[in-house]
Amino acid sequence: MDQTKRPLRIPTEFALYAEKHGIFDMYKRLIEQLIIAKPEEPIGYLIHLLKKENDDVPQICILGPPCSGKHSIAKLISSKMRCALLTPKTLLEETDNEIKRKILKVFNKERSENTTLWEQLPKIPPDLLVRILRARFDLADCVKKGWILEGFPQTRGQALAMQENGLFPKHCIVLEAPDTVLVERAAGKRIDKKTGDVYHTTFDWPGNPEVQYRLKEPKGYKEVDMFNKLVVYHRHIDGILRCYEQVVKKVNADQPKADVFSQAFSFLCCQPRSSAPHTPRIILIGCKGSGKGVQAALLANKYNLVNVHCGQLIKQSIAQETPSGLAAKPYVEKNLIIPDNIVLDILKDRLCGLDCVTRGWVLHEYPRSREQAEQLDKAGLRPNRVFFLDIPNDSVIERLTLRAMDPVTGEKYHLLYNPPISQEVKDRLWKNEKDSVENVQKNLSQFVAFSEELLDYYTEGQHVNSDQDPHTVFECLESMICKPLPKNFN
Amino acid sequence: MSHDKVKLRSDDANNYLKRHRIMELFNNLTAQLIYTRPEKPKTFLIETLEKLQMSRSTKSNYPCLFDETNIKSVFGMLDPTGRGYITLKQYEEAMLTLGAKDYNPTPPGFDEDRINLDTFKLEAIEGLKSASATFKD
Repeated sequence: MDQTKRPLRIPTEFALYAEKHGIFDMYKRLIEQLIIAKPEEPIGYLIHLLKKENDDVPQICILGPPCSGKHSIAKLISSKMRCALLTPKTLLEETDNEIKRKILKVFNKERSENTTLWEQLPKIPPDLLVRILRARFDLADCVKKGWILEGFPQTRGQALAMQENGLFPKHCIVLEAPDTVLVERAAGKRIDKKTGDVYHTTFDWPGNPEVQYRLKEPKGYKEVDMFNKLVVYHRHIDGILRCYEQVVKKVNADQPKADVFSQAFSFLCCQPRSSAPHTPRIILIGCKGSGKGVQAALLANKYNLVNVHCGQLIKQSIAQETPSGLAAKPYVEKNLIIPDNIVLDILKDRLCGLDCVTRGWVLHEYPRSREQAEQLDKAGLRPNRVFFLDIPNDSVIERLTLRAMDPVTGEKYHLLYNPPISQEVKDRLWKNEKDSVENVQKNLSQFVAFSEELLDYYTEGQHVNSDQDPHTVFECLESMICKPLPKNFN
Repeated sequence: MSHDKVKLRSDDANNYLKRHRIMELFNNLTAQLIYTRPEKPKTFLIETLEKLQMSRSTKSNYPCLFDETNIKSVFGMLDPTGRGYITLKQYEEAMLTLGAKDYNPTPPGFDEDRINLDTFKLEAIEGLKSASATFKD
């Protein structure tokens, strides 16, 4: 039988377990590596892989035309993420002599004296380069902390050779700037002889006089050289980018260094979409009028989730006269707060239903306190996405207090967004008492009181500005549901 | 042309996976994971794989979720009245339930449609062994 079509008989607890430990993604990586390497001893190889495997580490390529600031950005990233910084220059210098000799052999005939080896990368056979890379990536620092590869690959051939050997970056950043800017920038480029850091006479001048003294004008950055380099760069970059379509992010390099870095860094924090089976368990937290209900309905509609509105659920269970519904009934009749354990029972009954387990759910109006959130977790119903819908109080008041209903037709209006057409209708509009300014303000202050502790509790919660068009908010939520949550490197 | 090449490569990969019984290996690993749900899945997988490697060289003690008592209780379930034997049909179903691969379709006593506990135990252990020995012979 086809192994992928085996019937799935897996207990639901395991799905939670697998999600927590990323089992699916781990299997995928292991099988990937097996197929690439095809070792004769797969079991031993798997043990070796599992021992050194570290999925959390960054693996980054940073590309860009000369003078686009690759080195400075790569250096910032490597110090922020504490990963190894690899440049073609250091790679070639550090490599062992055997491979070096082989490379030199290729070059003996045509190598001119005044260019260094690392400037001739496109001419070195890709497989030799990949062997160097492979050896470097297997060293402890790359395995444990990850790597950032600056200015490599430089041709499509090199990128393909890397891919064939299972070397593929998780993120690829391409710095982009108009050629004229780059040529201008090249004239002011200065290099620190001791550390190799790059500075610029006008844009990035070091404060330390000692460093100033060591600065040197690099060779090969005159206007003519720059033109030649740019021509080579543009010849190859499109081919490379075709390999990295799924992981690439273009960043405008014609900005202050800090801006370029922050854009690059926020890209590095986000993770690629994973193909692991995943049932969304979403909680929307927001004050009345922030659009929780609307968003929940949209999500439920598009992703076939179960829309669970806590208040409605309680009413429903009272109407159906379930045991917990009957327990809640006296509290509702007397307009009292229902005890936590009764609400939790009602919720548990619903969220443990087969439809909720298989399709996923989106819950709103609950939890309202830290204890409720904790109880929910204890019941095995920990959400995997929590969204805070942020909205200024003024907008809520505007949204809620101007609502009105036509008592004759039952039509609902909003005096600002959807006003009635005729004066006659306008005059007979009714306003619900719940929508008075005092009531809304009371609601808002209640929300502020409990949202603080939820904010503390759900550290992985994402904030969404919900003072926008519903569909804009929806897209924002969608993007964070489909992709794994961004990583936090701090 | 390039399409053929792609096809060839996927065949290559499939052959490799089949030859070394990788998919079965991963299925067994998943079964172990589901059963134990360890705190540190990676360390657990390493241990399980090392056990498998060990048993491969010693040709015994294959890591498997079922042991002799399980097999006995399966037999007990099929033979609630304690007749001491089960039918061939029951034997086949039991082997499938245990997940034993390549079990002996003609165990001693099959012509009489009576398979006793000792035969069942022997066959089940043999069948489970080949199911958990997920590597190239």
